[in-house]
Amino acid sequence: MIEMIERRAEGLAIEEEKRVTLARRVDEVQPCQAHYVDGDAVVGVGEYQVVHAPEKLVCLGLGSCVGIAIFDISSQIGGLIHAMLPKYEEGRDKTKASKYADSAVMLMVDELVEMGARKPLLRAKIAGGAQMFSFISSDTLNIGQRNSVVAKETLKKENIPLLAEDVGGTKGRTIFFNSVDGSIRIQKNGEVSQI
Amino acid sequence: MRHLTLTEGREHNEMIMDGLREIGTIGAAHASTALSELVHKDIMIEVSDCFVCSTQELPTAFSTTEETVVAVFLEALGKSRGGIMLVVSEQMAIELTDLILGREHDESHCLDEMDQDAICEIGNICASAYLNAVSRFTDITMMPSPPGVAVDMLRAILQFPAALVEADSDSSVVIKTMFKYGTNTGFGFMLYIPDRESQLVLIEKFGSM
Repeated sequence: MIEMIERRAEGLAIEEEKRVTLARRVDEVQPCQAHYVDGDAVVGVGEYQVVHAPEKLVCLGLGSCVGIAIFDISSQIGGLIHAMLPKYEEGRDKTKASKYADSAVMLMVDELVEMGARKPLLRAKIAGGAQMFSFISSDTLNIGQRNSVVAKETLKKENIPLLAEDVGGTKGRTIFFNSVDGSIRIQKNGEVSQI
Repeated sequence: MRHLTLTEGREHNEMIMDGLREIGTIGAAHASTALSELVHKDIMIEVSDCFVCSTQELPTAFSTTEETVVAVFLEALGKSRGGIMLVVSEQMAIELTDLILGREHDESHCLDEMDQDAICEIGNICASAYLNAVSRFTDITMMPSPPGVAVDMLRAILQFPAALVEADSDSSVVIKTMFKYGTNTGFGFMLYIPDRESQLVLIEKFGSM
């Protein structure tokens, strides 16, 4: 715990002028330690993972976060993002670009292409972005909605067609992404659906 | 902004952590008293736990299960901001509302709208009592926002306060206090997540003690 406080303290001591520019792979130094549920790799909050078929990826408990799956079925490559906040520009912490919906999409698309996916064949599906607490009426506080809106905008900018979506609502979702056919199985409120 | 260093030595850090834990205990003691009076049952609190975690890890810091919980979230507004949340297991939520609404306990009962409103009010009372205690200690007035209630997986719920804090800083101080009541298996806890400014205020307060 002491270590953590010290780290926190360093963070406080360093003033805001410290800005890390958006490199291609910002989180390279921190390899994500995937843990597995029933043999499927779990994509942690604010991370993304790319896999070759027939691997599957899971996002557990998507609340206001948004899950973005991008895949190229012909080359059997796909990835899943678990984005927490909408825009990289608006974020304070610039060390981890994978947690913002817009920068995470750009990073993962580059990585998918590098792995052998063909960019014009990339397709996307999104799920999540729920409004967990019903009291919030102002748009700035509706993080879930902003997450999904920004995700869609970014996909449009990157020219990746959005095949399906299941966003909004008030319930959390757990999603399973199958890289073989690009399908997403969604568990929401005890019900299972597929997009 | 004044630079603050916590690295002056382990003892110093420990002291700050103890102080923050104390804040949690004071706040939760007030909250549990309010709750006890409301339901006419003794509600005990346990020693607070205080830790620093990256906001990204916050949603998974408590449980890895996808168990359903009932949570009431309020934003602390005013000079010092932050999030405060009451989290209770579904079972404890039903038991509490049974007590409040003077209803016979029914195993098959599910949470309906009326129960959610009742829980919302419980959260409101607890959070206000908690914040009151903290404000008295820090001399900073904090007002609770209207409460919001959610019934869902704990992970999914925690993403909301995490995202709120995340916009502000990359790690957060979390003060957690457990509730216990009777011999029941129900669990509940209160979380207080002060924002960056409040963290500094709290740290300064303890640093000068």
